[in-house]
Amino acid sequence: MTCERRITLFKKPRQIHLLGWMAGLIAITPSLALAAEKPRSAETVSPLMLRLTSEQYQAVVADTFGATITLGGRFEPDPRVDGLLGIGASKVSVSTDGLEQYDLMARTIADQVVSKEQRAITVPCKPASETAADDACARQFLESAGQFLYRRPLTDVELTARVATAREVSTKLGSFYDGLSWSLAQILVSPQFLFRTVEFEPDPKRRGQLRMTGYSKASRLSFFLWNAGPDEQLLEAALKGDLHTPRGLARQVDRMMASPRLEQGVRAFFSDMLMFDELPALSKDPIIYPKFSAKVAVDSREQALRTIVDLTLTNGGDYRDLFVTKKTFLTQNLASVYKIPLVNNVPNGSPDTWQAFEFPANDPRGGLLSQISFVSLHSHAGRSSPTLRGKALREVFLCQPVPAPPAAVDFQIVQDTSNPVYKTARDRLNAHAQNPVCAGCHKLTDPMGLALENFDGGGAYRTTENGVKIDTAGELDRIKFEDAEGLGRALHDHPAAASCVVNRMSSYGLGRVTTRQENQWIDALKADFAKQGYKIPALVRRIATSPEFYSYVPAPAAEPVRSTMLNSSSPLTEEVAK
Amino acid sequence: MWRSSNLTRSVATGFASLVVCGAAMTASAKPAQALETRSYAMAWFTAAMNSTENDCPGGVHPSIQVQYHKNLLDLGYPPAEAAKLIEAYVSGDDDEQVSDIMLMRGRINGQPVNGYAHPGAVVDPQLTHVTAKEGFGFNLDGKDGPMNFTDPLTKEAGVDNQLSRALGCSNPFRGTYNVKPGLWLFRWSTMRDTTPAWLMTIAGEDLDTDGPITVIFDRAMEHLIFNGDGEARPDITYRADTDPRNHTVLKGEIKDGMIRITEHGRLQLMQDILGGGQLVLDKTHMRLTRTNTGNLDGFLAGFQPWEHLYFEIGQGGPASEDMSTGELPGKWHLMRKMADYDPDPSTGQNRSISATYRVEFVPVFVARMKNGEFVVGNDGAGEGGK
Repeated sequence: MTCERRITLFKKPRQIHLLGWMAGLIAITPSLALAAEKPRSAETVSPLMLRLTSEQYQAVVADTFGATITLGGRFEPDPRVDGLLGIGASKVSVSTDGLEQYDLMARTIADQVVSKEQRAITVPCKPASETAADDACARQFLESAGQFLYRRPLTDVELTARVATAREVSTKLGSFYDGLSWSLAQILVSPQFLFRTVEFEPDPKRRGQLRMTGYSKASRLSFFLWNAGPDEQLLEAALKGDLHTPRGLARQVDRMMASPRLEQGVRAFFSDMLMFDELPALSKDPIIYPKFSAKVAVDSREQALRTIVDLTLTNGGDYRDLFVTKKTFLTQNLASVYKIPLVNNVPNGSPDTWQAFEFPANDPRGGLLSQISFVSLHSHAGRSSPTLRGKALREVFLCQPVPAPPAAVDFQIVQDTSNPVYKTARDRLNAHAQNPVCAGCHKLTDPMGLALENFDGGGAYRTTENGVKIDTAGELDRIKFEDAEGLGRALHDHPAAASCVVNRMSSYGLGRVTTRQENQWIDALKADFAKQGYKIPALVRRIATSPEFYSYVPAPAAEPVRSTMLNSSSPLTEEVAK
Repeated sequence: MWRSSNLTRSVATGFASLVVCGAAMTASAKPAQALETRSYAMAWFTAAMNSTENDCPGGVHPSIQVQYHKNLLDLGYPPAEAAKLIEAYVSGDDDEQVSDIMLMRGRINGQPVNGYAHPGAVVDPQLTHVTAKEGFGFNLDGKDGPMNFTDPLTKEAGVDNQLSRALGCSNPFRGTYNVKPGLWLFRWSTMRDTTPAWLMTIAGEDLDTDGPITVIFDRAMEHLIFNGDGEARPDITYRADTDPRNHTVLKGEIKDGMIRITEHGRLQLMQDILGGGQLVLDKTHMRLTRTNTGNLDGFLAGFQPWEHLYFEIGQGGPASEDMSTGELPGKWHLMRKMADYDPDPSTGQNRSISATYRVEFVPVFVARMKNGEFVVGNDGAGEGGK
């Protein structure tokens, strides 16, 4: 369809989509829902809306129309709240710029879906005429695709409206598929697609109580386990009410956990927990760290995720071993940073291949903390940072928030890596900590972070800084150690480490921080996690089959979006604090 | 299968497999002796020039426009027509006419022939050459004479580097110790992106102390891999090509921390078919020092077949003559006159010219074929440098 034709049809090309967006917002706003159309459950209250992350958006589109569909736009950044993007997703809306991008992607996707090359696969029927409207075929397509995009069947009102759009555009443009494309684009830009809406309904078995609707349960389950929308079987189970029975729920959980797609969900969780969304944009000074590149950053993320999946899923290992394991996966690009020989047995110019690798027992590398992803992400562009590393270690792995630095701190000594007196980071931090205002927090972070000083800001191993031997002795909550390996062991044995991943995973699945009322459930999860040998799949299953995972919790009072943990110490935050 | 390595900073053993392709060296190998090995990839390879202000009496070679004007006159064009042709060439209004004339400026039996393919059929334009006393390199033949340099760094006399003498008055070939000659910079920068890397492994009992070593050259099966700053990336693992034409083993030594070749044999390495077909050096000499980053930096020299070199430089014909190399058949004549090794038995014309190259190496790992598999391990393959 040409641009001119679009303009002929509507005064503004995006008008119809924006109208769709507004209608969608009305439809999912509880107080206005009745006025907009009669929902399936008029008593639905307290919806929790979570914006699809970019990965989730891509997964839903790929599952619905195939992986060859390209998106053709960019996503707004997801905010990190309380340590997780998964929580930030419940605190965000869509900016006008973001809406433009969603609209662009919607039209790009819709055009591909109905294109001559794709339509035989993506459209389940053929119109009576390609140059005229065909309500029956349009309805069939929109009903079929719509249930995966909305993660529930479209209501009659929704379906009728989408078919009407298809009819109107098809008639005016003389093209059935153009009409279909416009209608599909409306769905793709609607809040019902862009947001996961959690809905509740009266529980027929418990008078006066609410329960999550079957389709909301299906969504919660599939995004938690697969980081994708529900498949046909899960939607079928939701329709039948199976997800309201412990046995039916467990059957679906077990089916989904047996799927290779579980890896996708585990990757998404750990990517979020470890803040790996920041790695693709991580840059280093190429003069100081010439080996570090965007490719290394992306590969380092994949290395960590492969390590995690291999240990926790493939081998069903103890989660805590992630802090000490010598086993990992490497590309030649990463191997060169680690100074490890790795033969790439492929023709010249081929992409790097991933190879399983085990560091020797006497190698200083071991565990996630010594991998490039952690040490480079929690460093500055031109120098390492025991403070940032210690802070990340406490917040990411132990769930212990570290206060942001006070305003107007003088970082001059810490930043002066060529200081003739303070040659190592330890020397500089000790000097800096002479300021009693700084000392308190640095005690929380530096003794751990200094143990990782053998790894520079680009992830390479070193034994000296400015010609002086690096002292890696440190302490974590009264456990002393000599180096990174010792720190890994200390973290492995720290009770908060296992406890933290339980908190993180439950919050990630719920899209919010758990409340005090849920402490009993969380405590039970932790106890079970320990009892079952700290196995991640067991924890995932325990959460996914818990009634608490689908229970109604009154929405807390509205509060502004909090800044992310990492951003809390950023110059911008400090500037604002001033 | 989990792979593990103890090679990150260790000693490799089993010297015999290292020289599996080098028959000459295998005979002198010490099979059971533990040897330390370090491997490197050549990051830079440029002609070693020592250009100074007054090294070219008569000046450096003229611009190609001036040279073409002279060539036209040499070909018998009347001055007015030659001037008109050059004017059109310089303005770009009709540059093809001059290019076509230059292309066919050779004469065999009075008939025009391609002057780049038959540079000997082009009248020698008598280009200037370097007359300075100092030049980088080695005394390759043990003799000293008026056509030898003294090395400005080592003060060694009798240095043979006629390549720098022949080409050193042409601007694209001029350079210093710190400034790489523009043409070689361009050629190597272009080739190294696609041409399989050149590798070198040194093996000895203790590479941190003086003593005898073995120097092994190979060509990799991969092209150089680069860092974000555009320099060759250290600690990459390269596979050594099993083609014996790319495998050279020479004796050497570390003396006063400097790595040298003491067995001055032939070094042969295949190169880019679109650049230089191969590098062949007879009476190979080398001296390298280790930089504070673990790289090696120094000189590689020997007698090199000069016609190979000419066709490497001259294959671009009028395009490269105009844009990068400057006058080409004249360089053929210069190299022919300066050639100082390997006389043709029938004509007496020397077929090789002494040449010295500035080389820089980065530490890498080298995997070699063993029992049908490329391995880096305790069987003699190279490890990354320190």
